[in-house]
Amino acid sequence: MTKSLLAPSFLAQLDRLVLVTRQSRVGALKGERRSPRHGGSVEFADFRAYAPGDDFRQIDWNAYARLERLFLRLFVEEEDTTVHILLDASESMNWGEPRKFDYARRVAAALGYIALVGMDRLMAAALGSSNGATNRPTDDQSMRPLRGKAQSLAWFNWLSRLHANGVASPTLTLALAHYAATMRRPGRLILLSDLLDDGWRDGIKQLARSRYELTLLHILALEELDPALEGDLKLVDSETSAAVEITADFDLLARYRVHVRDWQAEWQQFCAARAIHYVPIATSLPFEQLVLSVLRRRGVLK
Amino acid sequence: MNFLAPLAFALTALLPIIVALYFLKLRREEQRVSSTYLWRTLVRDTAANAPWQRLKPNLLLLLQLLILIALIIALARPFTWSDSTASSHLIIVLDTSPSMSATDVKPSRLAEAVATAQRLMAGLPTSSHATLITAGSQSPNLSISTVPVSNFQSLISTGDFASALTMAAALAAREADSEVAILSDSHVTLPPNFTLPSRVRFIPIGSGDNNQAIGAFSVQGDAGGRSLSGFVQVVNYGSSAARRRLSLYADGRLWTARELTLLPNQSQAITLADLPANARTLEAQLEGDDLLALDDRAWAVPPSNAAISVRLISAGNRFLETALRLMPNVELTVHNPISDTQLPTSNLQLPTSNIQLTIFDSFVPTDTLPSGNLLFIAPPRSTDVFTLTGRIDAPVSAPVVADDPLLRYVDLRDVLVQDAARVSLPAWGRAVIVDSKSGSPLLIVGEDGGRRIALLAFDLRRSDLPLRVAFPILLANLLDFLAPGSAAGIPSNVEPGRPLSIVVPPQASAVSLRAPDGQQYRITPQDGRAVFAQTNQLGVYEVSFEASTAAPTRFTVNLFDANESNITPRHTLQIADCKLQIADCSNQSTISHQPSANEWWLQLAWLAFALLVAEWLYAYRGSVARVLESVPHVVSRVRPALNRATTK
Repeated sequence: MTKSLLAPSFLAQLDRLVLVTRQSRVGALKGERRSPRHGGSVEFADFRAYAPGDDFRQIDWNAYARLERLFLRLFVEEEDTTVHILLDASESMNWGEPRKFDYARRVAAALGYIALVGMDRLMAAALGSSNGATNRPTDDQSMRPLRGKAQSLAWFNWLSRLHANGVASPTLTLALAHYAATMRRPGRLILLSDLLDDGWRDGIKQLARSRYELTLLHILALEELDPALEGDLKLVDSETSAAVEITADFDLLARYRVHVRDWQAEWQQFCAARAIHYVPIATSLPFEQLVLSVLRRRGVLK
Repeated sequence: MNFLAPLAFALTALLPIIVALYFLKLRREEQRVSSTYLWRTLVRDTAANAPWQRLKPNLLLLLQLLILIALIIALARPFTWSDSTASSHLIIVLDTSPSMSATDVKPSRLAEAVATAQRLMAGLPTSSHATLITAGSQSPNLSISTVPVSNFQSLISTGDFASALTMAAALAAREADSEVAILSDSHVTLPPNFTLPSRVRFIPIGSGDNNQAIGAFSVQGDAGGRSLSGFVQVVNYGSSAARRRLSLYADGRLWTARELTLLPNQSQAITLADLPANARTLEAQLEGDDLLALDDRAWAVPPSNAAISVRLISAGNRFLETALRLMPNVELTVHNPISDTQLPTSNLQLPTSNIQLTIFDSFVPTDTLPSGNLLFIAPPRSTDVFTLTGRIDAPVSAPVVADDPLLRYVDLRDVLVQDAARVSLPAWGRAVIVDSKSGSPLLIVGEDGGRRIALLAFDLRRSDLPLRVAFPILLANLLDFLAPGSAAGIPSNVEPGRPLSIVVPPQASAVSLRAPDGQQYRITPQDGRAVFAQTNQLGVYEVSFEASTAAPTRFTVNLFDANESNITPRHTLQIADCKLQIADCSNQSTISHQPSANEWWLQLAWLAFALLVAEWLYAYRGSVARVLESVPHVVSRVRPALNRATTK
């Protein structure tokens, strides 16, 4: 299964990449991320005047020799950070060639692998469950925190077990709000979705308010960006089975394409207003090119 | 737009049924998509009314509705009223007289009349047929053959308007549902008491009246023969004054010119003295433009000095003989039918003499009449050319037409006649003087078989006419008509289109004529006469005699016709009691004009068929496109096989 997600040679390429974080956060464990706290790393951070009770070992005696005053040497603390990956597993993701869900799952696998390699704490959940009204991720759909490259196999296995058969609406907002409320370490959050539901907007607002550093990967299939439809059609929604009757002529298709572009631009503005990193992605773009080139260029990876 | 079967519009109830069937029939193909989220928002933005949005882009439904609408309207049999006739036989009398060449309507009145005739033809019901009769086709410079008349089932050309109407009347009498349409500027002269047995419609042609014409042009030699003097009458028929220049050419060279100011509807006489005596042809020309150019030129030839040989056969009539002897250029020979031994009573063909006019006074020969023109005075009995039916006591002389040229300067008032022969009007003649009481003609003139004949019904000795001034004038006028002054009996001027009878010298084998356009005619004489009918062109004609010593002579054809030159369009045409106006007129009061109905159902049926084809092509456009795409492929595969077969 792992093999089907990411090739080993590609994993080797991912080892050199790091998830970019714009904020330093307090971590739980020692890690490779710069922490706002001062700690015991080898990297000098600052001086501070001695106060009774301070550790004598941190006194800079050379400074005392010159100045006859006691100063403490402070060092940068390096801790881990929590990377959340939320994957849209609604039925609408199960579409396109390649399927949006497969594409999103491979992107998630790559990003999670990079996080694990970077000794970050990785948490993940699949949204769009079909388990009743709450739409909270079930045990199968939410993953226990993972850390370290050794956990990458567990990460890939978890992803492989996922299926895109849920329904986004109507409890998506609640699900996102719940996720935002229950996570004690907000950290970096990467959301992969096609956003084909009104509930995403309110849910993302909730996440943004919870001090997550959000990255939104908006994944759409080519069939959604430029549909090849013709004639009198009754379009049936794959999730809700709701029908829309159209007569797909040149004029309507042209208006549809304009409509999709406007919609993406609207999301772009929405995200910019909330310091959310928005990356529109078409599944026609080769996956490797996305990870190794586009996401680095867009500042998601480095 | 009217409808013959408006009940067919009840079928419009089928229109909503088609729409309803369309809704029921429309099965949209189900297409599963990831999400209808984007489509919903798109359709919500554009679809204010979903059912009509469904209808809007459907060309097939629109075409089907149009087909049904076209068929319903066709079944309702729409029609429009047409100006054309509804008669089964339309007889169009087309005036081609000289005035129809006026250019007040472009390009000419005749072209306009022909176009109108074509429109009348086009508007005829399919079961009808049309006949075109041209009236005055022998007019100068006009020919009906130059206009497209191929649409007419039959084409008849007549010489004058009366003949044309007579022909139309004869044709109309054969079919009850006939209509006669007269296209004319109404400058026509109709015989009195003329009637048409069918519906008649008069369509006037023309709108302008600006025309100045040379109404008369003659040349006289002075007593000594040293010079000529000319007389030109210029008439302004327009309603406004005009300035024209009158130029006179002698043998093609400008001799003199006059600037004329012509008041409306007035004539001006110009006398031109001292014209060159040796001129052979004189031409008067009005410089400038008007609507009718035909009458702006006139020609004259100097009078011939050749004497007119007149033979009088009379038992003795001093008045007549004296008057004839006093006339210039008259060589009179008198024969007494009783005592003259040179006059064979059985045959009056005198051997060698070239007699132009024979006057029978109270005498008619028992045998064949002589050749040449004839004047009968008080004939005692009927002959081949007229019939006496009795006698009239104390007839009262009255002119038939006041301005008859034969009665010019002749005052017939108080002329007493004791008695006269009652003569039935022959077919060749017209009455000039009639008895005002009985209407019986007293003076008849005309042409029969190429010669001119006149008949005076009363004896001059039983009347006081010889004692009046009117007598020599009347005799001179008659002589002008019967022996028109020049050699060979050729008048100096001939009306356009009128046949000319030429007295051929006995030894001449043929007569050669050269028309103004240079065309040569050769006529073999019969019975001492040659008849020339191609006098359509205006200008100077030259006549010469082959194998004869007789001198060549010339005559002119001029349009001295006030009726034609006065091109003011008239909007009425008087035929008998019916004054034809622009509107229709019927001699039978029970018949009213019925406009024809042009039906449009056939055009609508074709439209429905075209829409049906378009609907089929649109419905199967995919298949049609595939077939079209496969054509080059099929051709490329078939062509080698054909080439091989051709090679074998």
